[in-house]
Amino acid sequence: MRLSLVIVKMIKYIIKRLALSVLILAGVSIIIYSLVRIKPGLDFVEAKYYAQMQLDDTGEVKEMVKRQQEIYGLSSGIFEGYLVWVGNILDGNWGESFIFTVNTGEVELLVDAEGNPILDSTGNQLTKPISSSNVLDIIASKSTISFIIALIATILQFSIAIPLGITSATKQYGVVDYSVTVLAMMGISLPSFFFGALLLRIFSIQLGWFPYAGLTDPNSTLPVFIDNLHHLVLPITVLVILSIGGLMRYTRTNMLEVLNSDYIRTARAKGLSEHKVIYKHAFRNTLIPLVTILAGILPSLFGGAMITETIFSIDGIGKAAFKAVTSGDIPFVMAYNLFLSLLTVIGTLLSDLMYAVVDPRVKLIGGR
Amino acid sequence: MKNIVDKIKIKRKKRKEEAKHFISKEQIKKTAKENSRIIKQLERQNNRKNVPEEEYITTMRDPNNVVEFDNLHSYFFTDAGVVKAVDGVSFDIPKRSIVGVVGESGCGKSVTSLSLMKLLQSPTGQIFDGEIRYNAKDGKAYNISKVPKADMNRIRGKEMSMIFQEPMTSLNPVFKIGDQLDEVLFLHFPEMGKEEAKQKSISMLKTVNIAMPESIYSRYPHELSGGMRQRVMIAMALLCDPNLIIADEPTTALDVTIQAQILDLLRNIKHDIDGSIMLITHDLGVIAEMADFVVVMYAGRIIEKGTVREIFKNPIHPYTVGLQKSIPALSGTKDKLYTIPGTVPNPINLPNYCYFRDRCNKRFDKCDGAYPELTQVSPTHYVACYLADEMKAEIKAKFKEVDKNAKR
Amino acid sequence: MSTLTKDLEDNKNLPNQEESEVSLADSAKVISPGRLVLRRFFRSKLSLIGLVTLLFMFTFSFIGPLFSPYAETEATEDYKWVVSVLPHQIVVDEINEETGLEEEVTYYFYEVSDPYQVYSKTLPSWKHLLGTDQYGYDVLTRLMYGGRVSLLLGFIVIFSEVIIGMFFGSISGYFGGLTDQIIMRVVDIFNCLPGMPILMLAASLIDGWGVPARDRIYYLMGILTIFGWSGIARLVRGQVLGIRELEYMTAAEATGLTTRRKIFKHIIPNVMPQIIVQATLGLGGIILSESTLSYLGIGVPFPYAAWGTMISSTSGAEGRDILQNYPNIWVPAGVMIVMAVLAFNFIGDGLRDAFDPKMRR
Repeated sequence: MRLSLVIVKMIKYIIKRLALSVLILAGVSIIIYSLVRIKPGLDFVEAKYYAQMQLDDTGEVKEMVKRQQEIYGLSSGIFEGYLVWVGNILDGNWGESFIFTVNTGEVELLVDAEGNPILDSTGNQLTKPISSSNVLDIIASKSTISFIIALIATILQFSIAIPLGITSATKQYGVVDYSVTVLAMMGISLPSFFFGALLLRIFSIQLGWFPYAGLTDPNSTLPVFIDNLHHLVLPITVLVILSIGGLMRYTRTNMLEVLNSDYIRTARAKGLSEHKVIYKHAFRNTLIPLVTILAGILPSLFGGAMITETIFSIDGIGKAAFKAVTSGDIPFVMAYNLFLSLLTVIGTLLSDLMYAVVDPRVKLIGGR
Repeated sequence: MKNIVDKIKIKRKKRKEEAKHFISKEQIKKTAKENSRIIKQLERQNNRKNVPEEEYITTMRDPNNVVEFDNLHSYFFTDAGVVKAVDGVSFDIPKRSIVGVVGESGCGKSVTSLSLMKLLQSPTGQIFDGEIRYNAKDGKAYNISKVPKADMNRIRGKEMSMIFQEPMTSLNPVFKIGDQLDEVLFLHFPEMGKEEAKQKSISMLKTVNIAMPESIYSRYPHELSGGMRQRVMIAMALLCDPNLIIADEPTTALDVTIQAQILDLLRNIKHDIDGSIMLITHDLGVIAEMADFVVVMYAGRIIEKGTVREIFKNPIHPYTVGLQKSIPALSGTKDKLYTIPGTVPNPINLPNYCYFRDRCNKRFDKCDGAYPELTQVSPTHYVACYLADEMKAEIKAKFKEVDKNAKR
Repeated sequence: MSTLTKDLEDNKNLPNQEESEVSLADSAKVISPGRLVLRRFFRSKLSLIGLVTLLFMFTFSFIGPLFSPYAETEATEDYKWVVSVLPHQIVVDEINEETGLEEEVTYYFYEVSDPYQVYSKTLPSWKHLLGTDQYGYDVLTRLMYGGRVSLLLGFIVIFSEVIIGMFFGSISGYFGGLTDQIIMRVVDIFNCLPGMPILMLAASLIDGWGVPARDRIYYLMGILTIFGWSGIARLVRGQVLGIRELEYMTAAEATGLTTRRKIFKHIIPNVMPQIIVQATLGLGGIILSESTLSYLGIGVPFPYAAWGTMISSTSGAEGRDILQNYPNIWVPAGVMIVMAVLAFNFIGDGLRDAFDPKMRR
């Protein structure tokens, strides 16, 4: 009886939060769409294909331009246009990239003019891989490698930053604390493009310890997996060093706050060893604010790292986004932004739910 | 022209005068340096491991005491200067007794109790000097101020336990009540099984008059009221059958009706356990009801101590008198409650005369002298006031009269 | 005579007594809160380092160019005239005069451009302390102008963010109810936008509008502000909500102060410390964002100098060469960015500790 009540409450809460998330996503999409449409009379699709349309008036380009314009509702006013665009997005039609195509993995069976299958010498029907410019397909195909990199980096980041943050808080103003503080600051202050270039210059060009770019080296004698890891050392180093500082400081601040609380004094008064006081009583409480960090992890796991991936020429979603920005592929950039916002919203939702798991005081009623 | 020069001179003088009241940078640096030196030294001593027992085993002055504070100095080494929170405090807690420690907030009563538990906020808070002798269950006497941190864990929670002022924040919010209770048992009785510990915890919850102890056992702290949480804290303090329970203002944060219940509970417990209670409060009424002995503290020092009867019937120090006058009485026709004028002096740079002089309504010429020593007015009654000498004779006479009356 | 000396002695004693009286009353040495904050701030070595670094940056960027013999976009004489040669081949069907048959003939020809200047990158020398870049510009001078852009832009953006954030945050926290709901949902939306990608979208759109290079920086400030104010609004709202619950606000309410007076006299001053800390820390972030955008080529446009642009030379056509052989072109810019951001972070941290000594010993 009681349990079912709790479940009903939980479902109610989740529905409420979902509604809020939808509202936020609607707002995000409005901002993204208005950004594109804010200058009236400027049609980014036409602008992109302007040169080709001048050259080729036969209609193929025009057809393409028209299709693109339809997706973005560019022919109507900004309000109707927005509705058209959102409708398309809900239909799963997120637009077509100007510059990327990927193989979908499916194939088209080749037929000749009369509709008969074309066979090769062994009698198999010839096929042609179907390529797609649909941004969702591109995002899906490019985010795998980004995800792997981000996952390794995140695991490393957490397993280094949290223990260091705790040590730094428990030995406040000690040597560890000062070096952690300074290192964390350095990490926060380093621009990724500079740090990446520096690492490349020193460890790749000068010392030759790590490869210069890419994921694999055809001349390498190492097994493929090891070779890949070897290529990933520098980019992962950049990601970890840059993100570790914030987490370390966050852990430290929260730990300090917890260590000053009354229940820690109670734990000490019980006769618990300092180790138990810190890692059992204090740590569980530091976890609570750390849960909020989860909200940011999801986008960083799937969203790629634009600059790092570009510097190290890793063909992930981050590099794609970078390339899209620099070459004016607005459909892709719009979709990428929307995708990241979606991840952020889901992440926030998850972290709110996690709050209830970690902190017994939080009831899933009413929300924050 | 001369006028201007004079003006400048005056201004400069004024600035110099002002500067006297500020701490100069050099001064801060000096104190900070000095502090860190002392702290390091004390911390190093505290953090040692495998210290031979001889270093902190001592003998009690009186084996009938549980705790003897002997000239305790607990200091806080802040950058603004050394805060002498407890400055030469000596008193005893006899076995099976309740000793009340009273005083305004900031007088050092909590610091005294935290020194006994070695829970001063490190690294700034340190026991600087003096001895705290503790008479353990096994018959050994420990000098708490010398016991290293690691060995202190055997005493804390098992031999002496503490009830804090804030029940709302003193329990860890993420663990269930039962887990927090069992933890103490597992820690001090490693051979105890899970089921046994649970039974003991539940029975202890029953002892502190919690209805439905089984249900409370599996609740989280935030699901309980303040009074309930304080009961849980008391149950936790009782779990290991300690020699001494320190109750640091256990009722201050509670409703008046709950306060009475908790005090009743504490009084009953005293009969149940074979130990003593050190009751810290600013409420003389509570002391009058509960305590056997009273210690009155002011600005880090004891100004008067004695049995309850002595302190309430024959208060000598004007501060004690003032405290008593400021208890609201249900009967009587007083329409205005007495307040002691002024505030406690700043604990940094205390003056070298009686700290209460400037608030005292009985101040006389002798008071301009050095800080008065504790003088004995009866076998158990001590007072740090120049009035004591004057009153000694008077009191003796009075006591004789009382005794005579008693004999009659 | 004897009475006189006695009087004198009494007089001598008098000031002493007075002094002891004074020292008692002032035995608690009173320091104003502001001075206390400053004192705590200056006691931290890191915040001092930050402050000194920042002062250096300002002198370097704003006074340095006055002493530089070169201008921001002035190429030095280290150039050579070159022509570019583009090989072409063309296949034409021609009738062979000998055979009379039509056959394919391949013609080769070279397209030669007009002569143009190419500037040589140079390593540090006495003439150019940090060398010159691929356009022949003096790196040291560009570094100074880049600092001007970054620092000025940072301060303007953070100032606008604080104004907007404070306005919406205090309204939201003070009035609560529906106003709060609406404003906070908008803040939520802005918080859910991905930071860098949305800036990139906006910046690349502005690029597409064909905004003149000189005006680009104003647009840049605009988008950095628009996508950055929400954090401060949220902070202010939280603080205001907390302050509203305090007793002294109830007292202010009871004395019948006007809303404006309550907000500006009693709430804003109490939120200020947090805002100052947040703004200082935010400054570092803005400088990072600006230089990242410049690095991507959608921030401060060429030919104007920006630290990010200077580093982006490592990824251009001559990227590998510059990365490997001309660290003088890109490393100083990176060091400047790190120094500026670190300085703001150190100062922000120092201020936070100074305002909120609870966290300190």
